[in-house]
Amino acid sequence: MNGLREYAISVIMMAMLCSLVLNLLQSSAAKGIVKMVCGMILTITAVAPLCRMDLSIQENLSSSFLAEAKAAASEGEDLNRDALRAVIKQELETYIQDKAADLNAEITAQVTLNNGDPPLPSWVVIKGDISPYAKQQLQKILQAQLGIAKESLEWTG
Amino acid sequence: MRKLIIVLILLPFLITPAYAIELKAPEVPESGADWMPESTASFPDALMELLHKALLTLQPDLADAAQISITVTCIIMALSMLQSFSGTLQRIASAAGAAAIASALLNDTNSLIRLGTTTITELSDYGKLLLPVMTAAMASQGGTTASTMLYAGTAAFDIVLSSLISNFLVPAVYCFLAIATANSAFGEDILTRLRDFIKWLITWTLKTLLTVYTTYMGISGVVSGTTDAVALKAAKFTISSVVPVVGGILSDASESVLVSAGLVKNAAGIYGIIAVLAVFLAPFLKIGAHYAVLKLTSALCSLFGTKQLTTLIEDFSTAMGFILAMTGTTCLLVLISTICFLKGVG
Repeated sequence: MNGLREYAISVIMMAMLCSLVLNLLQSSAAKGIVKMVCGMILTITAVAPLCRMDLSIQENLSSSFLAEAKAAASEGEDLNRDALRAVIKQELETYIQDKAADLNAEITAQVTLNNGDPPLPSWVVIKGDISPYAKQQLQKILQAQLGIAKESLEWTG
Repeated sequence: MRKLIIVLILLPFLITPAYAIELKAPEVPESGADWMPESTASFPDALMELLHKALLTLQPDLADAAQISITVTCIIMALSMLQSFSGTLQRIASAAGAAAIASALLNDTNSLIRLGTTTITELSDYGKLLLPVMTAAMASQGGTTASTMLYAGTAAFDIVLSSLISNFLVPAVYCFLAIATANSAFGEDILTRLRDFIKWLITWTLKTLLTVYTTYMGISGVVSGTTDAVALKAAKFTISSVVPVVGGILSDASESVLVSAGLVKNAAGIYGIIAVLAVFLAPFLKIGAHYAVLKLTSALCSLFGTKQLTTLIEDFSTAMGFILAMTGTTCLLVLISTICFLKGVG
């Protein structure tokens, strides 16, 4: 604020001084030259602070905003992947439990997904009492419809 | 008591897992907190509430501006009486008049310029917090390339704009005011061209920057949007080529996650837009009120005042116009980027 006040006062005072000088030289032949000099002094007084300005935006521009952009986008992709994995896992577990229920077996399934894109079931743990017939049928269903091999199933009583 | 304990024990088992993508727009800055609508669920309602609050606070701003206007009009009236004298006294009266008007307006103009620059900093800072959220939200919806380009472009333009405003344009406004006052006090019109050049430079810089930014947004939106759309189609094709039932489950899951991501992105974007407007509207209206009242004062004073002094008032109103333009440009930058993020993928 002080700097601004000093600047404004200096410009205004200089203008008033120039005006006064010009008034004193009302009909002098040197008036033209004095007017030019006054104009130059006024311009320098007014524009000088602009010349001392710091225009170094290059330093800021070289900051790592592109890396930040990639990091933020990568965070979004991770969120998407996590949400997708959670939904797929839940859907598959519900599907297996429903199929078992159709075979009169009450089980709980725990699906492990691989890290592929899209994530696919790689291991399934099935808990509960299930008859040999139902177990065989369920194995066939899981193989045919979900692509889960017999070796990727773990049965726990 | 026993029942309560049982309920508390059983309560965690009743919680069903929610797999929605969790992203929230940053909290509105303190300066806009009072203006923030209670709910941002409905964009038109929130906007109406914001405008209603804005109109209510316009009255004291107009009263402040009117007070300054009356002071300036009184100075011009007193000076117009002195102008009836001829010779040196007339010139001295003119120079003293310029100094009097400048001192009457400079304090108010300076506080408005400070208000404008504070608002610009706040808008820019909020934009910097909102950008990563919107980028993550758009990337989670499948727009990785578009969101990266939007983030990078907006961040770069924001840095250029805020650096230009604080390091060049605001000092240029002060310089413009000093030259305008000196020109008026000097009374020979020799600084008119220089004053007009600074005016042109400020206007041109802002216009060019905004034009380049909107062009960049348009081009990057088309280019990256197409890339993301192709990537999404390829992903869908991969999913459908998996074992039929698994493919169906994957496809449904992918679709529901994308819908959820879209909803999260919209909620964050709308909150962000309203928050930006809440920060922007109060100072913008305050500066706008002073700008309009000064324009009116200049028009009124031209009826009885000298051209020199009337032009000086006009120049002060132009300076406020510059601050309005700078604040508006910064706000537009954040709004345009948020809208581009909201536009979606493809």
